[in-house]
Amino acid sequence: MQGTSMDTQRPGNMRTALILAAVALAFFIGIVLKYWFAK
Amino acid sequence: MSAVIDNHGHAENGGHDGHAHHPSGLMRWVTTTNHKDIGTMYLWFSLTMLFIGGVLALTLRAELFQPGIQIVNPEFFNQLTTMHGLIMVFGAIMPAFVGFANWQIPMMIGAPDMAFARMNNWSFWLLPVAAILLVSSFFVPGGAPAAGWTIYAPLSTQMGPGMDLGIFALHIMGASSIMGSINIVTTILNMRAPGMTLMKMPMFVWTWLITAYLLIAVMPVLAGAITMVLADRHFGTSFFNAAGGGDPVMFQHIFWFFGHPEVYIMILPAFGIISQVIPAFARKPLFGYASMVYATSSIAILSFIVWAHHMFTVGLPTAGLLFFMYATMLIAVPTGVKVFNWLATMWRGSMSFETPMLFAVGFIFVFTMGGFTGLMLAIMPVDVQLQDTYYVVAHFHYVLVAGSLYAIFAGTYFWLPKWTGRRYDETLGKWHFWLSLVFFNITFFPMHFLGLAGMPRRIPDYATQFTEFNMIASVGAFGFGLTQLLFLYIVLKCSVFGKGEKAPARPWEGADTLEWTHLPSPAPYHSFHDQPLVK
Repeated sequence: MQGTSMDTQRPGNMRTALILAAVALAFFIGIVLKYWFAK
Repeated sequence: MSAVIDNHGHAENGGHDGHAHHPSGLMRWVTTTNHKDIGTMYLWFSLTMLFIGGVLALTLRAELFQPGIQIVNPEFFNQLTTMHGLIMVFGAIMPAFVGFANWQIPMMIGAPDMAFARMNNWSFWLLPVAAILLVSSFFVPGGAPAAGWTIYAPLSTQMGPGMDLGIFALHIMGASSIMGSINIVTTILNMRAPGMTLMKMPMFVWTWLITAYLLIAVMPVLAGAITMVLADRHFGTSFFNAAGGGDPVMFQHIFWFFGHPEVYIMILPAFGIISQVIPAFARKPLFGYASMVYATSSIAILSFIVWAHHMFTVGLPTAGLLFFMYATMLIAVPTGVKVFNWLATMWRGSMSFETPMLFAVGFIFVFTMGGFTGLMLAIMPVDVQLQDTYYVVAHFHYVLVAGSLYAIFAGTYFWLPKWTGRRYDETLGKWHFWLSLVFFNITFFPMHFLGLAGMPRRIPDYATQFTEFNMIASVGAFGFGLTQLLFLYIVLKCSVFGKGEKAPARPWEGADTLEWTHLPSPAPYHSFHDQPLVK
C-alpha cells in the first residue's frame, strides 16, 4: 500500500465491514424484490 | 468533548514524518492509501464540482435575469437545472464532507489511518469516473438528464441515453458512498485511541458516525429505485409505468425514502463542524454535549419517517398527510436543541471572530432561517400553495448553501493551518465571509417573495411581475459566484503555493481535540503510530 500510516488492522474490522455491507446489499435487493413481487 | 488528554510531552510527539516513503508526482495521488492524501483529493474534487455546478447555476440565473427566452432553450434549461442539482448534491457537498471525514476522523480519534486503506482509495477514484459519465451526458443525443435531480418517473423512464449515463453515474457514486461509509463506521468503532469512549468522541466524529449509518441505509434504496428505472427503460418492466400496471407515484415514495435522509446526510456533518468551531472560538466546552449526540441521533431516526412531506400534493390519504406533517414538525425539536446548545456555548464565552467563527455564526443565523421556512413548508395546507414554487428553492438553498456550504467553509478555514502548516490570509477570509453572506441573501432572499407570489420553479420564462426580484437574485448569484474565486485564491495561497505565516501546532487556543494537542502543523504524513491515551 502506498502511504498508509502504519498498521491499521484491528480485530473485528472485517466483521464490522461485512455486517454493514450485508445490510446495504439486503436493502438494495429487498427494495427491488419487494416491488417486483408487489406487481 | 470534555476528555482530559494525556499529552505525552508536546504536540510533535504524534508525528512520524520520518517514516514517510511514498511515490511522488501523479502516481502518489493515483496509488495513495493515505487518509490525508485521499482527504485532500476529495476536497479538491468537490471544489472542482462546486465550480462546475456553479457555472450551471449562473447560466440559469443569466437566463432568468429577465422574462423571455434569451440564452438557453427550455430543453437545455431543464438539463441545466437537473445537472446543477445532481452535481452539487453528489459531486460537491457530499464529497466535501467525506474529504473532511478522511482528514479529520483518524486524527481526532487517534487512529493511524482509515480501517480499509485500499478501499478508501477505490472509494475516491470511483468519483471522477462517475463525474465524467455525468457531465458527458451533455454531449449525447437528447442531452443530459432533464427530469430534475429527483429524476421522477415517468420523465426519467422516457428520456434519451443521457439518463442512462446519469443513472450509471449515480450508481457509481452510491457505491463510493457506501464503501466510504463502511470505512468510516469501522474506523470509528474499532480504531479509537485507548480511553476514547463513544461519549468522549468529538462531535464531528459523532455526526459522521450517524451520517455513515444513514448512508448505508439509504444509498441502496436509491440504487434500487434507479435500477428499477433502468429496467423500465430497457428491459420491458413496468415498475413505474402506469400503462403496464406500475405506479409512477411509487417512484416518488422510494426516492424520498432515500431523499429525505439524504438531506440530513448533507447537514449532520455540517453540524459536526460547527460543533467543533464554536467551542474553539468561544473558548468554552460545547454546551450539552450528550444532548447534542442524542439530538443528532433523533434527527437521523426521524428522517426515515417524514419522506412524504415532499409529496403532499400527489393525493395522499388525510391520515397520511397529518402523520407526515406532524412527524416533520417534530424534527424542529432536536434541531432546536442543537441551535440553543450552540448559542449557550457562546453565552459568556471569551469569543473572537476569526473567519471560521464568522462562518459558524453566519451558519446559525442563516441556516435557522432555512429551518423556519422548512417548518412552514411542513404545514400541509401551506405546502399545497407553495409546492414547486421559488419558496421551496429559497428554503433548500438556505439550508444547503448557508448550512452545508458555510460549514464547509468554516471547517476549511478552521483546519487549513493543520492541513497546510500555514495560516490563511485572515483579512481575505473575512472579506470572503462578508461578501458571501451579503450576496447569498441578495440571491436567495427575494426568492421567498417570488414563491409566495406564485412563481413556479424549473421554468426558463416567467410573468413580468416577477422581473425585479429575479434581476436582484441574478445579480446576487453572480456576486456570490465571483466571491468563491476569492476562496479559491485563499486556499491555493496557503496550500499549493505555501505562502502565509507558519502555523503553530495549535493556532486556535480553544481547540482541544487530538489533532491540535498531539500533532504539529502541518500534520505529518503518518500520525499516531503510538496511539495517545485519552483519560
